[in-house]
Amino acid sequence: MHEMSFAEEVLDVVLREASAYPDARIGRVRVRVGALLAIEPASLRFSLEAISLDTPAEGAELEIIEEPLDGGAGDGALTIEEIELSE
Amino acid sequence: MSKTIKLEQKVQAKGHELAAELRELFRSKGIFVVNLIGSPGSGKTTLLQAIAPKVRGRAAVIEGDLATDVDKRRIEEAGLRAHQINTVGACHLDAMMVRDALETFSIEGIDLLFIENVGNLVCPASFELGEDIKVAVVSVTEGDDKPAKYPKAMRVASALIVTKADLLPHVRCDIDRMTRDAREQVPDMPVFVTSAEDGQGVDDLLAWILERARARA
Ligand SMILES: Nc1nc2c(ncn2[C@@H]2O[C@H](COP(=O)(O)OP(=O)(O)O)[C@@H](O)[C@H]2O)c(=O)[nH]1
Ligand SMILES: [Mg+2]
Repeated sequence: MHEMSFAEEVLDVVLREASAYPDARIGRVRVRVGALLAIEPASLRFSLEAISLDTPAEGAELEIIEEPLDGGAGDGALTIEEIELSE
Repeated sequence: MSKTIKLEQKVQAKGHELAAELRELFRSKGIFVVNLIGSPGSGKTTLLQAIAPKVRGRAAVIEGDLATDVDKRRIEEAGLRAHQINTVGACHLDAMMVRDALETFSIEGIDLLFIENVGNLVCPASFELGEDIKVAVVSVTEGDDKPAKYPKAMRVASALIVTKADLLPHVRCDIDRMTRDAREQVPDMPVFVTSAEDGQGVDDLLAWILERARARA
């Protein structure tokens, strides 16, 4: 269940970025996950949902793009592409 | 009104950097590292016992289990130096456990290190230990649907090792199906059909591992 440790890292980054907009809520987060991470999307989504309760990220939609193995550095990385804020 | 923050920020799994350091360390010492992943009882330790006499003096084993040093002692009896990690609760080994093990367990003078992960076909697939390759170990008695059911373990593996082939006459197990399902994840994945009981396939497997080691060096 390493999805939880990824979810924690994602939430940290997202809250830090969003803190510049104190009135905003986080509507959507888009991430790319490398194949070597063997991340289960449903489990990552569930983990993030659980730990974001009572934060500006509560209820945010998590969009996950699963990338095929290509031998590059992206294979072992989770990349936060963008965060969509709503007022 | 909505605003989009473009980020492209990479987030690393915990232990990712440590695994990279370990890989560097193993490489600098010329050690090829194989991480064995398979369910409890799939035959990982027995396979290593079968390999042991063929690599005496050049190989060592790190064993991972929740409790006991039973496997370490089995490997030592088979003639290899071994170290036992007890994870207590954890369902997998991680890079920090391996680094800690290396504080007391010497890997000087070897060129091959086997790491037997905690019995589990799920979580160990997600943790890098600085190894060169992971291999997935599945026995004929577990059911031939396992490669299909554990696609992520297959995806990170460099080979599928089918164990206990001597039991094939007694169980319903379709090796072709296992092979097909594994190759669904990794095309051309090498598949070794082995038995520690009668020794079949063990030499081929070891030759392949040593070839991979040579290719890396
Ligand atoms: N018949 C047969 N039994 C085996 C073979 N390999 C392992 N076993 C048995 O399977 C059981 C589990 O093996 P073990 O190596 O401890 O599995 P591990 O938990 O994956 O390390 C033991 O009772 C072994 O004797 C094999 O090649 N043939
Ligand atoms: Mg064992």
